[in-house]
Amino acid sequence: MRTIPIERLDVAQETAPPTAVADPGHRYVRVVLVGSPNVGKSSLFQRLTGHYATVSNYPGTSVELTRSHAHLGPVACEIVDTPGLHSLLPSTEEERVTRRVLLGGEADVVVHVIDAKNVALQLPLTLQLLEVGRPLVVALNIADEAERLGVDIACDALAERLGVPVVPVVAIKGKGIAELRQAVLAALQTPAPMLPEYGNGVGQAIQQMHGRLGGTYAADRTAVGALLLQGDAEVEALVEATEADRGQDVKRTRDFLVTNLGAPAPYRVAAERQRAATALLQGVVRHRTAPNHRVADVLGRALSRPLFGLPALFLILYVGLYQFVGVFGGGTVVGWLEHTVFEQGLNPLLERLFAGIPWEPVRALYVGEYGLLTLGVRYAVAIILPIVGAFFLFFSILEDSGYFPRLALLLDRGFKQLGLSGRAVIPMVLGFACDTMATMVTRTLETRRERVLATLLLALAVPCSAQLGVILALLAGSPLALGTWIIAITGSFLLVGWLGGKILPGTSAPFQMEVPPLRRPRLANVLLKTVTRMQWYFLEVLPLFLLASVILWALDQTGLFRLIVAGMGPLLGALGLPESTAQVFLLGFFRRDYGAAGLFDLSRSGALDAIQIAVAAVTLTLFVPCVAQFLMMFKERGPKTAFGMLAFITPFAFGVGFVVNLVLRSFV
Amino acid sequence: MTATTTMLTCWYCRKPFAEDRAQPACQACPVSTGCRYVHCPHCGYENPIEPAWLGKLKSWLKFDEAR
Repeated sequence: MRTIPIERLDVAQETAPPTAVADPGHRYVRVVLVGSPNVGKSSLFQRLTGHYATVSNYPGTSVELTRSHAHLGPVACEIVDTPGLHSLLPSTEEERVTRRVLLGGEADVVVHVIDAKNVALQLPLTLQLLEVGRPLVVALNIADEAERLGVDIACDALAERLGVPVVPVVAIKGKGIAELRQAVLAALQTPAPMLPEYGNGVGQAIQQMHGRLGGTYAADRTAVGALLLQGDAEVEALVEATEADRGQDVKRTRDFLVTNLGAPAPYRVAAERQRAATALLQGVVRHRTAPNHRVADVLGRALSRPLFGLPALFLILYVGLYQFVGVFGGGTVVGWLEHTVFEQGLNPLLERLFAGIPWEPVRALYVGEYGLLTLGVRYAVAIILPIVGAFFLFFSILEDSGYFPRLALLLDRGFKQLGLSGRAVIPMVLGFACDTMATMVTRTLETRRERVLATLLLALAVPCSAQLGVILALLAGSPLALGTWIIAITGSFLLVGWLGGKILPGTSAPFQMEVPPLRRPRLANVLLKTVTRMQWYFLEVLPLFLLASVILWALDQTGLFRLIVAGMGPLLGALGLPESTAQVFLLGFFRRDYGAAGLFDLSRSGALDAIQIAVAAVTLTLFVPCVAQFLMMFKERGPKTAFGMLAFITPFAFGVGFVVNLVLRSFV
Repeated sequence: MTATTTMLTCWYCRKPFAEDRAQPACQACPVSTGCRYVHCPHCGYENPIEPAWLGKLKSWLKFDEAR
């Protein structure tokens, strides 16, 4: 093993900015992070390096390695994040690449990242890494979770037995990172780690292989010998190429030793490593009965169980969606913006500004009924933005707390009745933000049946954030309309989902997911997420609103608008709606939120009674998705399915609206 | 292929991922040009890319999102 004196290293100033330039000459100390999948390597990588990384394919493969530069104290380093590795005897292309990095001598220091909760399962890989002969540091990640689950690890004792530093870290929280940096620096100064001792003939066999190999290898011959003994074809080719004349001799020795081991060599070696690992951990790892009564843990579990989870869900929806988004966002804030800012401030100013334009059509383009400023900008700024802002704030609080994965677990059983799984909660939740993007996310569902069903339910009965917020604001003053809307939309979702689950062939996939801990949302995180979403939403929505305003203005100026409204008259009449609502449905086809804003505006002008509001809100929510969502359905599910869904949704929405009108007119 | 990329943390499962490793869902999107969202390779969740001005503000304030 090589020991690199600190003096010979590139010493960078602490203040020097890290660079993301690749390092062909290997002038830096290269620290390679290795570990099984899902142990937090990437979290640790991010913690050690920061915001930027370089991703490149390993030569000759499509497997990617992530690299970045950092400074460990005064030492300039390149940190390499490798694909997950269970053993040095690889079974996947990703594992093969990680092994090549290790056996190719690229690492000056190897950091073995272990999930502290499962140290016994991952220690055999540590032993294999010791065989490689590079300076090694063991990072026991997620140490806080392990402690909470009652796993106590005596790190000093383990370090003494392994002969390498063992550092407990919590990468996601940045705990233990300074100690890990110190350990990596110290590892560069220490001699080669001790090789593990194996019994039952395995240790002797590996030693004999080691003695027989005479060539120069980037890794210690112990690792090469062990892999040769286990029949690894790639290492066999490497040995043949390196040993040249001695190749046949090495091969004969290997065959002799394998025969002597009796059972299949890969199994014997792996079993002996596991036995050695278990022996090493004797007295080092202690399992106590975990009290696990942390409030967040108890609450987290309860939220994913129906008895507590469902009432909690209804409370969250009532307080968050109805009171905060609907009543506060859609009522108080929109009211202030409309009356104080627009009606008293901006509108008179704009009217004076455009009064000088002598051509009525041009004036109408800006400040007319469908004007860019009076319709497009006012809808976007005064109606949609405050409602969407309130929704995104509420959404970000739930997101940052870790509630959504628990919602997925809670709804898994119910979703199975609809032919979906808890995994479908992700597109459904995202649908409440934007149905178009959520339709794209349905591709992450495992079976075609789930993808088709989720796409249909998103198009039919999941209103987007702005539509939902506007409708809640609209219905907040009328319990009859609100109750009708909830029953109609929930009923449609469940009925169509249940029928779809029965009719569509196939099965739903099993659902498993790692649930992050429940935590108190951080104000800064919540604001960051809300502002990010609001910025992108506004930039996306404003041009489309302006474009739709221009199209409506053109239709109005050419008289086509009146023809369309007259054409829709009988249909709207059957629903008990006035002709003026035709505009709402036209706007809704451009964008769902635009239509909802139109309905909101119409309702505020006093043109609709409570029943008409309920009928229009139900029909508009179930009505065909907006243009963008339909295009996405077309792309994701193909033309046949997309047009099939459109053919189902349009009559279904108007049919439900018709029934709602009939029932309410008969009984109220 | 080599590219400098940003490390992101998924807002749903909280696992980190390189922006380049996000699911290539954008090809299917009709508004993919200038898309401001990436999908987590672990769970598929759609994460908005934070605006540049917020990134600068965060580094100026030394704000650490993962903590």
